[in-house]
Amino acid sequence: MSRRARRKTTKKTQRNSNSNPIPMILGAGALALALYSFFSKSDENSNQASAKEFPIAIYVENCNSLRGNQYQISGEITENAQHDPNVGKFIFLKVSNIPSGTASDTPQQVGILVPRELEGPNLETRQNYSFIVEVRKEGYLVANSYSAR
Amino acid sequence: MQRTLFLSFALAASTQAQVLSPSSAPGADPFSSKSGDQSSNSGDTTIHREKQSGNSVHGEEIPLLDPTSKTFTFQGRSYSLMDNNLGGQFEAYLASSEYESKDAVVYRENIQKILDLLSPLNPGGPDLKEAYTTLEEIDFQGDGGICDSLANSIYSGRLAMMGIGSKKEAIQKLEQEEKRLVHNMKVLENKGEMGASTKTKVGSGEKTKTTTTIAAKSSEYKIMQKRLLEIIAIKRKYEASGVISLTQSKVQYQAMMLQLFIQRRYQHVVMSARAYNIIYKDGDQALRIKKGSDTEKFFSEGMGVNPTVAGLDAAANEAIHKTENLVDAFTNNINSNRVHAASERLVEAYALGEFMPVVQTVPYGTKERIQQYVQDANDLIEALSAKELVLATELNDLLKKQARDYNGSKANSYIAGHKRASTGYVRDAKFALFENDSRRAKSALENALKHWPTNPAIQEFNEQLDKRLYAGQQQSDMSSTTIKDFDRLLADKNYRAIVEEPRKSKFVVVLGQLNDQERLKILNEIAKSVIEIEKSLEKARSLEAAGQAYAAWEAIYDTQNKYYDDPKIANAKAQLIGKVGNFTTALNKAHSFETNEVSTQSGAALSWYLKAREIYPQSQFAREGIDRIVGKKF
Repeated sequence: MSRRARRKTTKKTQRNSNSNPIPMILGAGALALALYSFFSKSDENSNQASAKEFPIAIYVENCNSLRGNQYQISGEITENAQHDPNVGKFIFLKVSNIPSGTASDTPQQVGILVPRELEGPNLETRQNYSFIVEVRKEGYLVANSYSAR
Repeated sequence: MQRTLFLSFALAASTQAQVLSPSSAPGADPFSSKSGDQSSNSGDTTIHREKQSGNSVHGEEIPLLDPTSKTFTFQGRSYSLMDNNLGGQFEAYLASSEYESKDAVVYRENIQKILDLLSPLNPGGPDLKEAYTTLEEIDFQGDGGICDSLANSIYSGRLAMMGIGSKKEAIQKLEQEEKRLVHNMKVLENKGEMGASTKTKVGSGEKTKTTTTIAAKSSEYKIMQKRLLEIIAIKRKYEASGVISLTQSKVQYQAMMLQLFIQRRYQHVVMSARAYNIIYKDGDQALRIKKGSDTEKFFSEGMGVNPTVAGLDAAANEAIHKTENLVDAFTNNINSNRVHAASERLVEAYALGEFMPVVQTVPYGTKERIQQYVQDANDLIEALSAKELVLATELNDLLKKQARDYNGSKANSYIAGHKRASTGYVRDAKFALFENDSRRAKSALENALKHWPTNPAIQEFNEQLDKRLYAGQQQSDMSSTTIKDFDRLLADKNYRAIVEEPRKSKFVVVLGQLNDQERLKILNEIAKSVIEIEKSLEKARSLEAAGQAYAAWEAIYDTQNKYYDDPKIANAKAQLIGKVGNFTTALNKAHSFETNEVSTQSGAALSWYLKAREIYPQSQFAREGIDRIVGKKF
């Protein structure tokens, strides 16, 4: 089961446990779960918030210099280039959050490998998504997380 | 008759000119112990045409057409008339009208007159004196002074015989004196006027003889005795000198007769024989020929008897008769247009009896036909010897027209054979040249020349060869220049110039002729490359014309990279770059990042490929690059 599914189940349990001890206990448990869930969500948001904007101008000129870094990158999937159940998906993303001042002839598309174990919404072409990516060897972008926008 | 005929040839063999010679082949000379060296011994100018050794595929080397090439056989030995000297003399005889002159007629009349005067049938008997007078009066150049020589011999013989007569009278007188002296001496002895006698014993025993010598006392007796001794001595001297003189006279006369016979002056021989019998009346007719000489051997071996003056006379008469027969046969043949046979008979008659009136009086008009025929026949022989086959053919045809008995088949066969052989060798030479076998061609041409030096095909072949050599020289010069051009253009990497017409065709031809495989291979590769470039350029032009500049660029990109030194495609690519600069920049960057061996940057390369695809969505290069980079993760 995915994390998102587990979160929805917890919220429903929290709304039914306010009248007796057992429910209190259950409520406490639920609270604990809610707190856990909150903090968990908070971590995810903080990761997303802490990821830097993707420096595409630098990336297309010297991607190896960005190796090991994580970046937040948003845009529209232009093509599902490759899919292998054992490996994952390779998508082409037209970056939307291009820093201002970037030259107009700078390439605007990047390729992102979404590993098979990474959970998230279905990746459809012509849909916008936000990715946390890490620059790996040879400048390949590998998604650590993503979300639909 | 045959013996007589050959006697004349045999005798003639031992002299120089004007005679015939037997074959000089070893063992063929029946009269000489030194066979084979006859010419060197006698200074004989006779040239013998010997049959060429070595067999020819065409049969006899020269067909025997020469009417002077007849051969006589005697006792298993041959005597050839193949004598250039005879041929030359015979031709001179044919061309001469000397014997029809007035002097010649008078000469022949005088000769006949002398023969008649010396004949036993002459009215009143032979008249040597009148004959001698006529003989002395002859002064004809054609006689060669022979009549004069004969007259001298007769005169010498007569003188000798007169001398012998006076000696006989003296001897008779001496004998009479001797008898008278003997008689007188006997008378004196009977008178007893002799002196004392002396007895002398000679021998011993029963055989003892006693001689009684009476010494003369009378002076008269002594004088008579001395005179008797003198008479005996004088008589012996006279007798001895008379015998030697007769023999010498006969020997000299017979030598002259033999000389006349050798010179084929048969009428003179008859004359001298008849005069001999008048001069020397002792009945001795034996010819005094040196023992062991060729002439003696001939007479003794050929006839088996000692030669005589009468035999010589008979031989001369036989030769005269034979000559007359030959001339008669000649006349009959010429009248029936059998010129070849006529010429043969006339040659034989001429050889046997050149100085016979019957030979000398052959009309010039008749001889002219023979002369023409003989001349043409000789020319034909010369033409065949020199392998002048065209001329030989003409002469052979001419001879056929001249003589209905002329057989030209041998000459025809000879001519045709040599023509075929020569032409065949010319063909061989052509084949050999075609196969670049110059040695065989040379040998074949030499053989063609041997068979027919003036073969028009040889001339034609030579002209063709000259043209070919000239062309070859030109070709060689052109080849050298062409190869230099090729190498220079190749060194300059000016490939397009190499395959531009008409230069390319020139290279193909020259390199093909020289079988220069290495350069041909290079030329072929260049030609293929240019074709590939041209195809690429054509495609690019089409795409560009359709507004697909990116596609056009991609169309020539690989080709230009492959043939980066081709100026045309480089120029086309440069022109396109102005139109597809952003696209090519993206591709170049992508490719650069992708292929950076030190620090491969596939992520950046992918972005640039994607950028290129944005510009030209059908870009093959972009698609392939994208596939490569994505594929590395799968």
